[in-house]
Amino acid sequence: MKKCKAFLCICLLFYMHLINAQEEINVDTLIRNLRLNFAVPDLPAFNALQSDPGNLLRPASPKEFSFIANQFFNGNNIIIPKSIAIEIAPIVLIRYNKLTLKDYQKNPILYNTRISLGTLRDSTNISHLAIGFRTTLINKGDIKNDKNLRKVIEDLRSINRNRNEYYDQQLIKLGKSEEYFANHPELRIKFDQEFDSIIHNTGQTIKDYKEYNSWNAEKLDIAFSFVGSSQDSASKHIKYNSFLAWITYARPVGKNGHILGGFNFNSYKVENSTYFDFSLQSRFYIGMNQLKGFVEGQYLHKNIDNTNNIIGRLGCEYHIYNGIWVDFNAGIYKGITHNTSDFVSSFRLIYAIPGNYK
Amino acid sequence: MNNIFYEKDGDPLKIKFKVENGVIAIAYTIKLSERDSNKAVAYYDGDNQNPEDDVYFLPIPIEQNNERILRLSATFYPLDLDLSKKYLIKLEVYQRDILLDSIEQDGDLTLSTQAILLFAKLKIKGE
Repeated sequence: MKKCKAFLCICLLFYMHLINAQEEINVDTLIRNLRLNFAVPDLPAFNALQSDPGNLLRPASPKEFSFIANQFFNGNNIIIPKSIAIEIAPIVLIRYNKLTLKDYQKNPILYNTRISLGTLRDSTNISHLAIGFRTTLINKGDIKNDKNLRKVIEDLRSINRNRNEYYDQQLIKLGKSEEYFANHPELRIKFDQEFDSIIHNTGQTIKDYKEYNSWNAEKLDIAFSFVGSSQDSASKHIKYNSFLAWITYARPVGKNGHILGGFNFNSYKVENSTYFDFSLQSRFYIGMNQLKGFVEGQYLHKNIDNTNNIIGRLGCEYHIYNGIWVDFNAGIYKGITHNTSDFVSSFRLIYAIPGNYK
Repeated sequence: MNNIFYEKDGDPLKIKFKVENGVIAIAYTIKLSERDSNKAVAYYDGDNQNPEDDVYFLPIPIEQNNERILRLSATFYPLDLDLSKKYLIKLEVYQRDILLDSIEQDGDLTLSTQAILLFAKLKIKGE
């Protein structure tokens, strides 16, 4: 019951968020700003619950808030998801509307660090609770990195210098003083319109820097997560269950491809014994930001029964609207040691605050 | 236009450009000019990526700055709308490290190049 209420609260917050976001935008800005809604984020706390057989933790740009739910549709109706997780960027939230570039540059890792919380009730009615931490060590798709930023600043300096020269030339031409200019805002509007038109016609319009914000940029994320389990419905008496760690590297393949490689380590306790699993994964995306297909392969060694397993999956992800994504995938889970095969599939709903939300 | 008053017999005037909110790249030009002309007495250029402090001393003797106009124009671009959605840009005027006054502009960041233009007139107190 408590889980149900918590889920309804999250849904309500999510809905309010959506309404608020929708009020602020128009179609033109939406189309442009959607470029910032890169890729479906994976949350360490969600992956730690292992409701999905894949262990790859996909690198993603930090968001103040992300939400992810698995198995929320039973074929006919939307149901309470089997597992849900949220992720926040706590320092960004704390410093919201007080953050400058200099603050960010002093400690980018701090601002890139995210905390996630996830819950799962399994088929034996045991509740699992996970807390995850993740940070981004490399993000070449970030306009804020030094090389990209220098280019942006050069452009801005040039445009600002030209704008000032234009103001001065026009004042001389009109024979007006600086005080007259200051007291006649309509003159400023006129000058700005003329200036914008000139630079537009000469092809000097400032770029939108989309090349720096590409969805398939080079990235490196690390993350870890702790999972606790409880047999009572109120999730009391939680006991430590497992520790997981991930490292994932991603790099572009041409304009429309993205290849990811990752390693996952999982230490867990079963009846007072500790076991260590590890897996290696690779995933290849092809498409554009709004719609991509992917193929994935994974090798998994399970220490508890000393088995080797592989997973092969195909899937796609689609950006429905303003930060809402769906991800569907299906494939085969093959136990090499015992020569077993299972069909696996996953259908996930993901929400991350879009770039245009104010 | 704001009037900023200063002491005629005080220390030299100092101006400080600041971004108080917004993860943005910004370039600015501050023009100091005579009130009744458009001729520049001085220009001060900068951006928020250089290591300098964006602090400039105005010409001396300081009484010459009476009635002069400061014009701040800045062009900026948002670097991460996930980190900040609003901006606050300021130009502060100091005398002997005491803040006399400031001009500022705030607003919403959009995924485009934005520009601001602010003016202030310097005046000797009591004149």
